[in-house]
Amino acid sequence: MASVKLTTSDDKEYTLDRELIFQSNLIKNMVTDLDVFDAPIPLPNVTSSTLDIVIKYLKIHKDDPPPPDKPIEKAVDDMIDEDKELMKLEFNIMADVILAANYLDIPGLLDIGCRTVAWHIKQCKDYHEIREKFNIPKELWRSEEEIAEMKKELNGILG
Amino acid sequence: MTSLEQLPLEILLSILLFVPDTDLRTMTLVSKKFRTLATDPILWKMIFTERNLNQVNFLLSKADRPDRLDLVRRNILRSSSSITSLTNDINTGSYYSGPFGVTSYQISVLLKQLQQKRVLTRHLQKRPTIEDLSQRNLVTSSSIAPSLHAQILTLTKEFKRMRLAAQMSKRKSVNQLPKNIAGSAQSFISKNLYPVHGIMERKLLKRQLRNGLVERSDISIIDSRKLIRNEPYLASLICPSIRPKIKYYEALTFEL
Repeated sequence: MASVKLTTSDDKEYTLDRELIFQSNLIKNMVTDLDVFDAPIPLPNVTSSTLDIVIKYLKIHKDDPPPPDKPIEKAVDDMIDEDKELMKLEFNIMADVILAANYLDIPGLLDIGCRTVAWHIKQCKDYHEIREKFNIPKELWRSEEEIAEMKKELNGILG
Repeated sequence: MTSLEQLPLEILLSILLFVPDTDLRTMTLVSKKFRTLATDPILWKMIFTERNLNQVNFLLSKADRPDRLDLVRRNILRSSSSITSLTNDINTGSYYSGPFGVTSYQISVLLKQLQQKRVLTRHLQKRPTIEDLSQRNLVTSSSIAPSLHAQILTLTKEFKRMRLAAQMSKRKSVNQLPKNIAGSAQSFISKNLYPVHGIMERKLLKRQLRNGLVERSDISIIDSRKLIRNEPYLASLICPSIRPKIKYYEALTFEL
């Protein structure tokens, strides 16, 4: 079994089976184009902790058939239980995983990440809750200076 | 702390693809970026196509069908459905398929007329004779021609009148009638002359009323005898034409 070496941004080295890592289209294309197996491939955007989660996913979906070209099914909970357990993460880590999946070009993992985020959005009741959960800063429709001016004008009118 | 907004746009859009449309509306309230993303027209198009997939599939299956205008240009359809508007189009010269279409329309009209004529002649040849109809009791007088019907009607009328005149000349006078019938005048009136009787009665009543009105006493005489007080209500009873005046004055007093 030929193996592929990867180095993360933390300078940690991983040696993985070819069949396992070839689920990501980026590395597959890189290896097949360059024909280099010994030299480690650097991944500057991916940390070791996120790569662990990605490798867990790859081990679960080792024997899957290639995905067919069909339109997107909109059921949010249409996932395997193992994937559900895998994606029980904090949002910060989940965002990193999604970004890594986007970078490594793993369509299955990206799909699952998007589905979990959508599921979390579905659980929220208000937009306040969504802001708290996903760390979105509160935006004002007008800037604070404008609001202060308006308040001054209102006070002048009201006396 | 990474926020959801820091993710690239294509990932955010693919997340929003899985969010149901009711939650998309709440997503518009989160921030400006999500407002533009959640109101994306392509996203909503996808939602609506999924909602009524049957209709979309039906429309897509019929996509190759040519337009009505195309059919008219190829001389398959006429420009307008009703014949009156079509003739108007021909007269004004705004017919789609030009002079060729006009001639084809005129030929079609001639052909229709010919066909109608042929059908009519066929039916006339097949129609039953008068004798057959009379045997089936559908026609009463088989021998008389239809042009003589009016004369027959006038003759029958005159015959009836002559018979009535003969009966009138034969009838007895009132004196010659038997006593039982002549004596009971009221029954006679009630039977034959009831409407006249009613009119006479009404006329009598009218005359009596008029006499009474002419002989009635004046208001001054009634006043002197103190039979009536000078109250507006009673005055209005006696002379109803005063009523609006009374109302007017009453309103004035209320205002004061």
